[in-house]
Amino acid sequence: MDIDPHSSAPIYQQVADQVRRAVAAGVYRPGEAIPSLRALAVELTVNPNTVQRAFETLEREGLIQARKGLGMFVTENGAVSARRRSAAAVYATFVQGIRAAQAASMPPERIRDSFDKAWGDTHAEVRDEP
Amino acid sequence: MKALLWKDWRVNRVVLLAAAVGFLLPYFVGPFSNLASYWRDGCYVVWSELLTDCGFFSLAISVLAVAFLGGNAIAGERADRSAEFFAYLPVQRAQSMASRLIVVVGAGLLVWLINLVVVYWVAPHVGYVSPTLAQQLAALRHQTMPGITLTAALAFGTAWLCSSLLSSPSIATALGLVSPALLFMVLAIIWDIVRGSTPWYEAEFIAFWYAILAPALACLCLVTGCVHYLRRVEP
Amino acid sequence: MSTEPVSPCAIELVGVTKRFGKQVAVQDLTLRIPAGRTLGLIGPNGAGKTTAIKMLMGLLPMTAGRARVLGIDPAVKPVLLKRAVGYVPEMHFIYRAMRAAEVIGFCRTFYPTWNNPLCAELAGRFEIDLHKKVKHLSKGSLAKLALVLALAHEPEVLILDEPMTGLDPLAREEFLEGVVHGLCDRSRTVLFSSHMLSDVQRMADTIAIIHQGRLLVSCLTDDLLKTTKRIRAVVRDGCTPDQPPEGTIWQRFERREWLLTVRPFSPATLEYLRGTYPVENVEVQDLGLEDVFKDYIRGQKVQA
Repeated sequence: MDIDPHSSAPIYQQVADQVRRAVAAGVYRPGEAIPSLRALAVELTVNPNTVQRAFETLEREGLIQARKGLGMFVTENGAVSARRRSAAAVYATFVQGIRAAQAASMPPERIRDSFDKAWGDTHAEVRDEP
Repeated sequence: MKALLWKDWRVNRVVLLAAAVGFLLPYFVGPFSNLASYWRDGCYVVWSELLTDCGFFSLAISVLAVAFLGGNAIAGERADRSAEFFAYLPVQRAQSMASRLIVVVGAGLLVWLINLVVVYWVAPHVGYVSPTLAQQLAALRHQTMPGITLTAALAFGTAWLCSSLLSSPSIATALGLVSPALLFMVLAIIWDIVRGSTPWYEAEFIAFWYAILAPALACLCLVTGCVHYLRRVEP
Repeated sequence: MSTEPVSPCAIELVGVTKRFGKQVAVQDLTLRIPAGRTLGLIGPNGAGKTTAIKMLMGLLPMTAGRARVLGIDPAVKPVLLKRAVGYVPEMHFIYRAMRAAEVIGFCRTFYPTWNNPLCAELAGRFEIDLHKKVKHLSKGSLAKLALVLALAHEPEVLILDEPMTGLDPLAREEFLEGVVHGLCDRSRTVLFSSHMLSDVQRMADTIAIIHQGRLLVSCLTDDLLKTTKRIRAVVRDGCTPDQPPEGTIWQRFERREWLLTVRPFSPATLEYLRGTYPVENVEVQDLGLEDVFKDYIRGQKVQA
């Protein structure tokens, strides 16, 4: 897990994204505890207030739940909502790409061709992996 | 306060040890050279006279030592900038100053007291002292002791004031050492101007005014140095 | 912790000015840091950050204005203030001939709140060889020793003046981790000045940008990054834009490309642009802290 200090995204959002991604990937399963506030703050070298804010965001979303004195635990439907949010993040990335292409005055067919090429290239990488 | 005294001892350790060596040196050199001259050609100086001379030498060296200690007292920490570190510790200025004074003045007083004891109470009673010699030594003591003491006080006071004002311990020490000579010169010049209108001889005139001005200036410099250090915001 | 209502100010600088002869180092600086917040003070070299911090700590007299830390006036009660503050300066002048253990033993006598077990734990975590003389400690160890001295008496306020200058990346990370641990131990107010903007972005929830002794902006990090945008517009031939939209911090026009950084950005900004100038291909970019900082400073330089 790491955060990008050069990015314009607020740090607490990045921390929340990292936790969401980890839950979506199955690193933390429903019912399991996520790293404590101190552990996460030290690992990412961020202000613990920021991690607290990320936890509050995730708690509001329903991804995690506080258990008194024991820390934060992944909720049952947490994994599901995490995957949904990951999908939303991917969608946002695609939208950003398309907007950039439009700003560069690319016609729609060129944009689609570019996407297909990118899809082909990434799948070639996956196939080449052992 | 204990910690501050420890710190001032530790920071001035080298200067204090050098001063200790310096003021004890005549007590080794004197007897040694006396013994050497006795073995070489059979003549030697009587013990009481030798010890008195050693005492005066030691006091003269201690003038240097107190100027060094005074000059180093505050400016020393500014020179290596450790004063900037000390400045953000929660210590009252008054306490830090008191601790410095205790260590530095304490060392000076100790040296002075030891020499005082030697010259006044040990030397007159060591070995055989003829009545003429006893008279000579007494006269020597009465002439020289006050002079050296006042010179040491003035040197220290000036060095302390300069240490409080400046960031260079060497300049503060130098100014401290120069100040008694400067006072002497000024008095000599004044005597030249007023010699017609006063019945005194040069030596009496200078001795009298030196005895008044040296301690007065020493106190003035000491107090001014203290007040400045207490009121200053920077380290 | 982060959703508290506005708490009384732990650190306050009001109208603080510092003149060195004719030169003005700090000009009418007003900064308030509520309790529990971390403020990142950033600015180019010579901007007045260290001067402002020294005045706050009572190490430098102010020409005008007032400063308070936890309500304490540094000119009136400097000892009380220093007991409540953990301070780490940029350059360390700890007694070089003393051993680290001796320095610790010396310093702890002045703090009634000194926590010995905590001090030992910190020294252990930072792997500082306490038997080494200070002059033989590496730069990283020296900075960490200074941090131990600052944290061991459990202060409410931490003031860090470019504490990681000259440290290698690993030492920097270890130092910052130490600060994070300190923030986890208890809620603290932190004033933190640094050139490493990535570090500031990670640690500070509020940013203050200082330039030539004046405060340019002071607001929450997230707000600053959310409301500052860079616009890239292509202007049709023959037209030279001379009236930038309101809130422009910095702009540059070169070969039909008009770059401008605007704060606060709003849809009205784009409307103004499209309405006033013949622009095409308008693109809005988000900026990181480093770019926002550079644009603020560049904008000031152009004005001057």
